[in-house]
Amino acid sequence: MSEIKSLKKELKFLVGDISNLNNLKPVVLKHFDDLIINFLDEFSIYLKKVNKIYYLSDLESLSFWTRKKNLITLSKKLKKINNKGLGTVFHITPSNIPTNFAYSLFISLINGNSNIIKLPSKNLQQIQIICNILKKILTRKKFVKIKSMITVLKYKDNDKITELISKISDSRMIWGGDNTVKSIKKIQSKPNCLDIVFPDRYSLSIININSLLKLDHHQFKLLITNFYNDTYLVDQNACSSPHLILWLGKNLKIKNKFWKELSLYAKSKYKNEQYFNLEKYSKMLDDIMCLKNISDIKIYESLTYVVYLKNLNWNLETLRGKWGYFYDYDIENINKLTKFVTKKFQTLTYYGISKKILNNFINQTDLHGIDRIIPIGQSLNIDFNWDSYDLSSILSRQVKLG
Amino acid sequence: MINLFNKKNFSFPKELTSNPFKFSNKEKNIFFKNNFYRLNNYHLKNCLEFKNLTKFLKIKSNKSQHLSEYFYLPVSIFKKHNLVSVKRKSIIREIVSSGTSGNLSKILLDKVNSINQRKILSGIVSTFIGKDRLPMLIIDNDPRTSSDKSINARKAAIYGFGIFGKNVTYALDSKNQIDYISVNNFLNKYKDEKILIFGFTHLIYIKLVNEYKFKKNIKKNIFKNAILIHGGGWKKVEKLKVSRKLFNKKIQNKFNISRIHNYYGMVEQTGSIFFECHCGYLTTSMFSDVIIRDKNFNPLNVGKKGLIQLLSLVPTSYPGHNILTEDIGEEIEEVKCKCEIRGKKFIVHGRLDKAETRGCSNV
Repeated sequence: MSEIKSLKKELKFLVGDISNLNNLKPVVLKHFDDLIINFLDEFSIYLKKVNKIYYLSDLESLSFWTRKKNLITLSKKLKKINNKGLGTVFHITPSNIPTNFAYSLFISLINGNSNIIKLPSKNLQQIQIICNILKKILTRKKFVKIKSMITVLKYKDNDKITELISKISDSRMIWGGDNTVKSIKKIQSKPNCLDIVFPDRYSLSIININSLLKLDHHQFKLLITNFYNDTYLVDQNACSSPHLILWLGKNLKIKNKFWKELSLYAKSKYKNEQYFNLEKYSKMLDDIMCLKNISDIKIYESLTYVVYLKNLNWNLETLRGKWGYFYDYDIENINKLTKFVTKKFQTLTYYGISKKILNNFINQTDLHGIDRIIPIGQSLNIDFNWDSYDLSSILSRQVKLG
Repeated sequence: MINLFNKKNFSFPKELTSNPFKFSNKEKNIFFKNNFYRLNNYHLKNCLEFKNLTKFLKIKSNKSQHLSEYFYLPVSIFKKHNLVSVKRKSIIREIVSSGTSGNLSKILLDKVNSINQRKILSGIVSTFIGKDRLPMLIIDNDPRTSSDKSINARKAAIYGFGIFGKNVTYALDSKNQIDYISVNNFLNKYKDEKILIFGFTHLIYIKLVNEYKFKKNIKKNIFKNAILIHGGGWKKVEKLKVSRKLFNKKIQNKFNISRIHNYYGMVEQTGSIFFECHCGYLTTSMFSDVIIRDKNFNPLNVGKKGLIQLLSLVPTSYPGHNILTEDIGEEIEEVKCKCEIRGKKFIVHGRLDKAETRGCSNV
């Protein structure tokens, strides 16, 4: 690892230092180790306190997720006896969800691994806050064992550095879509290094229109807020943000109300950037010219573009919007979606649809994609089950005892 | 009433193109509105994509409506689609934008459109520099020596402006270094004459202001009769972080050139460019107009910053007569301008800020 020392100038450490990269025998702990649970709980308490200044909803979720009570619940469901960490996990993290790197890190820590995190190039406030807290807690004596398990760093894309770190890693968590996955996969790693990849995905929503008829003002508003958080909050540009909204049942009035309310909420919350509007306007013209199945397009409050479709075509995953640009289609039956679903499909968020119907949909034999079916509002929640990986077992090693 | 588009032949009459600032603002508005309506209808009839978009969005084209109510195309559309309003076989030239990033815009010209571009450019430029051809120094390399045979906006501008000069001399060699022998020969030869210097703003700045070194027999005074025309390449200009005022001051201090004209134009509307008047404001001619729009695309009043929309009577072979740019500018109150050049006055602040977008593929 003397080579990595020579590249020291390129590296900026936010947590940990270069000595962590020289460690050929990384610390491994057991699955759901109490030390990690206690560490994360202290992190949770600290973050909650700090977030009283910032009031950031994603930090609040992270603090909620890392509290002891939640981790114990998860442990009861997922903990495996005789499982240990794989060794060192190298995380290449994206900038779309500012807290993504933390979830990636914590899930791996809980599995018992040491971690090296490459942060996205953007300077995000949340990342700074999280790293500062980690750094502080790691100085506590009781967590001395964990100290070498967390290294958070930044460097300008540099294949040499990525290769050096890859060669000491037992697994690489490659976030960031098709291009990142392709370019990182090209870089050599240890022969037994396990690549866990997160390529580009496509997500959509389905709403039972009749269920909206019964909602009071407050409930309707909550649905709108949840939908906003899945979409506008991340510029509709996370892999789990929906682009296509399917409506079960027909009721134009309610549908219009939904889009209108969404646009009004966005108007009060979203940054109305001229660039976003120009791009949405251009995208709309492009769609009118290229798509043959549009019945109408409406622009609500200049902020929410809705393209109404006459029918569904192949390559649904090419219908992509950003910054509040949606495709809208009335579907008679959820099962009609099946034949359009490909491996690219990730998240289907729903509202007002029974588990029985969804179960039936999942268990159709010819469903080729969709890894998560979850209520609207939870699309950005990262979990041990992500992109069809069971991260509670894949990131650890089971020792068989006969 | 002068109609430019009432015949099969759209060749513009010379008495109009040679004097593109002759109308009073009131006369111009009537002339422009009337002809813009005709041109828009021409494109509606002859460009299917343009017609379909207008129809889909239910945007009207009435003689009485305000200019801001016509359907406009964002410039990015020319990057993805080859739009034409004439028969394909009459296209004689393709001009591509010299953009540095992403896809390039492609503009398809027929003969009439090409000729009108040249006529109008000539009318606008000669208003400022006179009708005589001047010895011309171009701060660029000779586009004919380039191995790339396609015509991009940079070459098009050099060819377009080249017609105003005689003894055209290129100041840079093929490696973009100053060719001191050619430059100094040129300067010595025309030391007592009025000369024209032309180039892209960023190249003028880098090559003339920063790099050029005076040699013993070339004195600052040699430029006293020079006229400098520069424009183009906003992205590169912004990187320099030099204001218009500082740019002019540096040119004046180093070369003693007092006649400096910036111009603003788009490859989509070649010909009807916007020249800086004597007060330093960009000016519409009778063949062009400008509208500033807010975040939600509503037209803005004088003095308010917004997105620049450009209207032109020149584009006939493709529907580029009404385009929404990606530049930010503002219209200037009429009373602020004291010079004799008539037209709507505006300034450009720079490119639209491409705010950061979050994204899975953005590591």
